[in-house]
Amino acid sequence: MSFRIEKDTMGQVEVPSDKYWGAQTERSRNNFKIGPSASMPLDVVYGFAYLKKAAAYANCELGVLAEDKRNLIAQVCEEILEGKLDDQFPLVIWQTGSGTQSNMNVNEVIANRAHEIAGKKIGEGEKTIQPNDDVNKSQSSNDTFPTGMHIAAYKKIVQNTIPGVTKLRDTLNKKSKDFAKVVKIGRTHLMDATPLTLGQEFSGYVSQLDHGLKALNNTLDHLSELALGGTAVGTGMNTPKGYDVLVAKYIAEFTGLPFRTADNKFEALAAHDAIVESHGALKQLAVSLNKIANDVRMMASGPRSGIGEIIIPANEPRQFYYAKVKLIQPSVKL
Amino acid sequence: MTMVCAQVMGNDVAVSVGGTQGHYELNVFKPMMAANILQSAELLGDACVSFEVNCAAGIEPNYDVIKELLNNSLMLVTALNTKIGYYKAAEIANTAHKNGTTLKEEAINLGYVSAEDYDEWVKPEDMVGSLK
Repeated sequence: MSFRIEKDTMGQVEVPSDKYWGAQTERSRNNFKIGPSASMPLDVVYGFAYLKKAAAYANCELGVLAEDKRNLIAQVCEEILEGKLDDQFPLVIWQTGSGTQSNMNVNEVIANRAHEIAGKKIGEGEKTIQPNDDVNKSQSSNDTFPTGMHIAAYKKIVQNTIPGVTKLRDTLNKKSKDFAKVVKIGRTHLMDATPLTLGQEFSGYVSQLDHGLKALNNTLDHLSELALGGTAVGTGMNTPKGYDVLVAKYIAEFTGLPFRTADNKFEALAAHDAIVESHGALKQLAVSLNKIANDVRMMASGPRSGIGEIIIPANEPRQFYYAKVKLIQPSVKL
Repeated sequence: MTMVCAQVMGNDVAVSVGGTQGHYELNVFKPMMAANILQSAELLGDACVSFEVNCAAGIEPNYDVIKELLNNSLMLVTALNTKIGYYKAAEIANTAHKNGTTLKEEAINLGYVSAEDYDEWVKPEDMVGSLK
């Protein structure tokens, strides 16, 4: 493997020559060999790509970054978002707790790739784009990481969690209506109780998921607040006037999601109650889904020795016995 | 699904602990919190889709079993509460449970209800809502 020399304030570091990252990423890679490599989720990296592009646009508009530099930074951010540079982010979750090294990883990759796009060879000549002075302009890892984290979590929740839970909710709602006249025995404490319809039972599951979705949606407003513009401690030092509002506007435009600058940057840096709040709603959904899945599991038990009030699809043909199909299916799918 | 739920509940503990670790101007558990919420959000979404496609969409009632378990149940006696009172109804259920007989048999044996009244009063389909 061949290496090139990269420099930072601590001195020189050897970096694999086929990688765009620089000295600080390489130091982190060597210092934090904890768990699988590249465990920092790519969703966070993509969140960074949105915010670095937005920062370049805001900085340019406010007169502190040249247009050609803005365009180069934006171009690399686009490449990151297209997944072309996924193998350039080798760092782990178990690094500095502010995420500084992942911020620098993104800065270094953007700077070196931009240098290459500008027709130069990485490691040779003055860097076309400086990782700290240009890519990280008007930023600090203390305000970029929470911003990237909010972008990633918000996107994941609205694009993955909510559609998935809603799909299941709608199917259970249809079943509830289909089974409206199927009278069955009720159970309390797992003991026989008075009757109800299978539709009534399923309507409880639907209501659980409706409440869970409502709880999750209610957390999105806090999650839409972005720390960017707070810089190191929340005061906004070294940012041009109006930068925080403008950069959030660009992030909203680029992501198509209703992000806005945080009401209070001190809270946005020092506390992550928004993440705790959203995860609380996710936990509520997990608790509901666990109850629903267990009910289905027990109602489908058998076929000869269980309750067997419902029939669930047998999806695993490799299971030899019918009974085994029924048992394996719930363990995996429920 | 239930393994995913266990993971999410565990992640919630980690996220909560991470949330407490802000000291003065900076929370310093950010990467762990980010990784956990992303994992939870993705797993829950994916698991719901998998459960919907592979299980929920195909759920059908097993009518024979449902009917058998319903009609065997001693709890149908609750329908008699408003007709003959709780204690007599309970006596019918306890006697049927002890003798391995049906509610109807014991209701008649004990002389509390006629066969006609029993059939009129003990209708599971009338027991799934409030009194008419």
